[in-house]
Amino acid sequence: MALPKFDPSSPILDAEQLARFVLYKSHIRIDGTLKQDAFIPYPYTDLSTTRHDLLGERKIWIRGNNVARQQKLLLIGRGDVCASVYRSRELQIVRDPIDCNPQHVNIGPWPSDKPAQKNRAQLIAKDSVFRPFIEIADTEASTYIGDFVVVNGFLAQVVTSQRANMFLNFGSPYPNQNLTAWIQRGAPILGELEVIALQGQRIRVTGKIEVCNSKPQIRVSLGSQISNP
Amino acid sequence: MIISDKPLVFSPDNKTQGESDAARFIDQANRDQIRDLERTETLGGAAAQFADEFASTISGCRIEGWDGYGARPVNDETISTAWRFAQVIPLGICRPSIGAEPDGHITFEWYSNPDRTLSVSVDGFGNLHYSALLGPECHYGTESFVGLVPFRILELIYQVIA
Repeated sequence: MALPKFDPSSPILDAEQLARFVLYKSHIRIDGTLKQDAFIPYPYTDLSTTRHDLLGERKIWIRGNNVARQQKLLLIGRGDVCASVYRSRELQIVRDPIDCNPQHVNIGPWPSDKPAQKNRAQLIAKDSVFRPFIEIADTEASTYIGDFVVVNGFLAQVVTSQRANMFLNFGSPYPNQNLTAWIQRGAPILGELEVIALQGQRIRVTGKIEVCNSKPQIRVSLGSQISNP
Repeated sequence: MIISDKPLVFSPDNKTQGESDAARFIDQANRDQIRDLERTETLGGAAAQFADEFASTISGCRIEGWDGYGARPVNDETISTAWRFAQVIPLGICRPSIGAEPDGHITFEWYSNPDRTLSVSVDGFGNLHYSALLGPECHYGTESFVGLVPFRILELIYQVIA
């Protein structure tokens, strides 16, 4: 059966996701959320985004890579935001299909004064979900230090320290782990029992890979950073 | 480690306005205290790490279109103003993360969680454009930078990191 063809004039429903491609690392916080900086529209009066409609994951990333290639930059990820979020901030979504991206839409008009623009961008960033472009296996973590990635791996061990920090060791138990996901004490995410229940399963963890005691590590402060594949 | 829920009264660029011997003595004592604090592992190490982050972030946005959407490069005046602003953030306040906006402004962000965050944009004309989310409340506006962190922005920093 042939796939339905995308119609650029199709209505943009409130629930539809719109992707803002991210090509600059400092727009992402260490916990894998997006800063407002990524949603400031300058030098245009509106913000360039891409509809998800009928595209599917692979094609959305192809669109993002096209943007990155044109600018000779690397695609880092994308910020997905529901159409309703933009609309609730008094912004309109205007179709602007272009040759290489029929799903292209512009968001505007933005306030002209900087503080009001920042405020709007901040409210949108709060409701955005960052999705890194790169997904790797836990065995590859040491080659992606400093990058924002999704790590897909076998959770071999969950350890809770005396200070109530939790350490999720991937691949093998400490000290032979390929990667540690560190959940800081008090982080408002999954409960200890829920995390322990993930032991022995393949899970995904999203964030920036840092180095701690010569081992790759991802800091986890939001529940959305951990998921089951 | 210094633990305080109020800003310390001195900051690296605080200068006395006076010219008397007493004023100069206080100024020198203030500088000595700052220098001693910066030599500590906690504050000195954090300062070095912050300087590295500042340099590496700025180096990535010195060319036209650094964000992939035609962003303006960050210019020397903005870097200079932003660095002076960074230097007067009172010791004892956690260091913000550094970023840049497509209009060439440098941003300082204090972040507790997506609902509690403050972003301050520094431009090359000495303006500090800020926007804060404090749960359901939004606060935004512009302050002038005249050598000290404006009180309004200090207040918001404390509300975000409290």
